[in-house]
Amino acid sequence: MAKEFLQKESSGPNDWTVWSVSGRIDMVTADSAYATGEDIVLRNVKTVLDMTDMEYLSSAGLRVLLRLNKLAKKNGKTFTLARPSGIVKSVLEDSGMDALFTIYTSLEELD
Amino acid sequence: MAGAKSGSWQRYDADMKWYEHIREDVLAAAEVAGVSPRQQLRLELGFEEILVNIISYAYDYRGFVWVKTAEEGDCFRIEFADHGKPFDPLVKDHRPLEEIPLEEREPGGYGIFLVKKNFKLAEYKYEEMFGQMANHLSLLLDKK
Repeated sequence: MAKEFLQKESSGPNDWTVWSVSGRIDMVTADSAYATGEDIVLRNVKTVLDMTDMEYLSSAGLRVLLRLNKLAKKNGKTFTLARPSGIVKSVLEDSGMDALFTIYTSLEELD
Repeated sequence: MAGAKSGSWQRYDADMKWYEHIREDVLAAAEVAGVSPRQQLRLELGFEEILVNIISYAYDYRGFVWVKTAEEGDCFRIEFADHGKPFDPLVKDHRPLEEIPLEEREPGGYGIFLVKKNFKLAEYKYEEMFGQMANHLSLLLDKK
């Protein structure tokens, strides 16, 4: 059964803020994901998007990540990704996004 | 084509309110055709990109989008047609994405790249269909 689109903000190690998104980031959910991501990135110094429970990421989702990366850089913040798998990992690799972000395989690696 | 199980063209209003309905129809056809769950996600990548483009940009007026799916041996074909402005999405950028510097990449350029990357074949024709000239895009995907 498909996972519901849910977002959660929590504290991670070494002052990182963890933004967890489950389900899909596609054309239906992209605006909501960006709005939440924008708020979290601007309020915190270091934000990691935890993709553990993300099942699908389309080009609309890639645009969200690209916009948040630009927003973070413009405002002197850090935004990165962690724990992608399956089709989400493939899409990141196929699009070359894996070169744009440091992608962590576990939250314990965050420094 | 031998071994092909072809569906018929389905016509929908080119309106976002039909998006989920069309998606369900396509995924149901893929399921019946035996497309693996992993490949269904790749099908969705192409389906979302093409359908959203048609709905968002093809028409300046109310129009239709036609969708057809077919099983072709070890592959699954999905076709889209519309009577909107002539537009070949496959020529958006000929360069492989990895050859485009990150700073030159536009957010809008990823979708068609993912279509080309994940489908075995992508073909565009501007031809007469359903009584008018039409954009006709056909995508072929491995079932497994």
